[in-house]
Amino acid sequence: MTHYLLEVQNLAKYFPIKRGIFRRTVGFVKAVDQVSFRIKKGETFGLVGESGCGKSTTGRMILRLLEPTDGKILFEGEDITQYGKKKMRKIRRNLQMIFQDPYASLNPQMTVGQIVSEPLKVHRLYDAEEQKEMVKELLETVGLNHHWRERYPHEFSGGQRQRIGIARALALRPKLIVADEPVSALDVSIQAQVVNLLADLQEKFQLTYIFIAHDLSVVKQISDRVGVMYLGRMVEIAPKKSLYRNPRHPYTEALLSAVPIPNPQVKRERIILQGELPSPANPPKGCAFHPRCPKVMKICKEVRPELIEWEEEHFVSCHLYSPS
Amino acid sequence: MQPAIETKKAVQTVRKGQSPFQLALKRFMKNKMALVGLGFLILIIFVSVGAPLFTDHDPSYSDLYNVDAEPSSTHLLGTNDSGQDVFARLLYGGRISLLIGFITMLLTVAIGGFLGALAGYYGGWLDMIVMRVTDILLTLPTTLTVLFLTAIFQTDEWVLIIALAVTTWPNTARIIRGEFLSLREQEYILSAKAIGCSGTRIIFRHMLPNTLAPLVVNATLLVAVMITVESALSFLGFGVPPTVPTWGNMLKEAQDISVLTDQPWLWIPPGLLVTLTVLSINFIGDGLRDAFDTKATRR
Repeated sequence: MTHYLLEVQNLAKYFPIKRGIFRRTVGFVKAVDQVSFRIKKGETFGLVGESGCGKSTTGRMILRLLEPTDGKILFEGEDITQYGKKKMRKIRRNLQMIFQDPYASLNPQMTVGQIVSEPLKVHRLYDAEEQKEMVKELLETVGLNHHWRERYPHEFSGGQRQRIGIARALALRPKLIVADEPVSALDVSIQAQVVNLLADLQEKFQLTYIFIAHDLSVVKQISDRVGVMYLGRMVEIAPKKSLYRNPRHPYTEALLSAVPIPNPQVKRERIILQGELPSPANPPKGCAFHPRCPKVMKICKEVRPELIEWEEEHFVSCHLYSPS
Repeated sequence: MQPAIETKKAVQTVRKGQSPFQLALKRFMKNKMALVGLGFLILIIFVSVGAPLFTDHDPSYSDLYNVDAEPSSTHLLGTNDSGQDVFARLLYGGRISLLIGFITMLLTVAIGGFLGALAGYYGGWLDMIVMRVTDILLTLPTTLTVLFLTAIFQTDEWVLIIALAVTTWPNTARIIRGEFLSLREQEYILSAKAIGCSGTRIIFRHMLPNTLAPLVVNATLLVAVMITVESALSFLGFGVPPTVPTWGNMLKEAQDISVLTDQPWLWIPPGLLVTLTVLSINFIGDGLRDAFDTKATRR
């Protein structure tokens, strides 16, 4: 029906705030608040925003590691939020995740071989001999020596561990990989290697990525389209070129102006945001960004802007761009 | 196949890495105090399990012609007031004391570990119930509860073991629950979920191996505590029946001022054994804690 691999509709996650001896719910942290986006097969969708804006929560909800409070997640046209345990287990073969911290995402008590072959064992794919062969192949695919399969994670560097994590995510031949800040814990010199590896793998296995990051230059390198989140809301979605050349939302403008330029001769106006990031437990009325927005208008304090398609493929959620 | 490639392959062999557990054991092996403790404990276990090899006397046989004998070549540590050989009772008594220590520890770890793991992993109402039960049990003084239980049921070593396990598992359960709560948020647990691992697989394959360190340390120290508690209870007359030789019962027999002053061979050896055994187990426990407690094993 659609050519979208993944469609997220009005996804929301509210974490209850509990107080007192009776654990009464006194409010909600709106980590993700009505986020919608669509992802085409084979593309890389970058998801950016500052810490605490709900990027990771969104990624985890797509894999149902967190249960959404509201909204739908359509994978290949089917709503997976309604799936039971058994059906979800099956669909997990198509959805995998790469984690941020290479030091925390591998079980220290398991050998590399055990870690990489575990997905195959859990889903009862192939016999023991074939699994061994698969592990060998996977390790080589991600640029690791397959003779290392009997070693434990503590014997590897951060970059190598991240490769192990990537091999594990690839084992089930998934269609979609959610990469949750896969390089932000790595040295800059290693970051490029891992990003390049991800790009190579995408070509080889026709992968679709959701690439979560807070580093705009890394996202620029790998993404086809980029979504910008602020305080649990999607403020702008656009193809990479259009976003970086022509940011529409004042928040995106401010973010982009903070990206360092290697050339010291180039002078540029730096937009410095005023004020603090508001608490997601108590987000501002109207547009969440209005207390810090340099272009704030009266309407911004009252009405929450919808995400509209301002130009072709360029979505923005801001009253500066109203359809009227 | 060309020989050149063959040799190249020979150089690149699969080397088995060392698991964090193996690394910890290696560090443990460098700890002298712990090794001395371990050596002494093994010696004690060996002489009490193999008691018949070291003495010809039956610990319950009363040699009525030889009551209250002084140490001699036939009775190495003399006899008690019933004419039983003290040395034999010391060795056979070790069996019961150690048995109670180890079996209670195993039971405690099994119950506490299982309930703690369930409470920590699943949380919610299950956690609520388990934690409230531990709260209640922890308000009861251990010794008093055991006294109560052994007073209702007839005292034999199995009643004592069960009574001890029932009163001490809450501590272990709390330790394991705490470990599980912190592990649950680790990314490798999330990744196991993302792969599609079942709850049981996550608990047994991913979480329990990573709580092994505190569990082993706790278990070791439990053995020491149990041996002391057994001695104390037997001394008070609420432990194992007085006819059964245990270190605690032997100390109880010496509750007499004339025995204390005139027959030190009756009470010094069992007292010393309890102290030394507990001390060596504590050294082992401390050694294990130090061996496990590093960054390298954490990750």
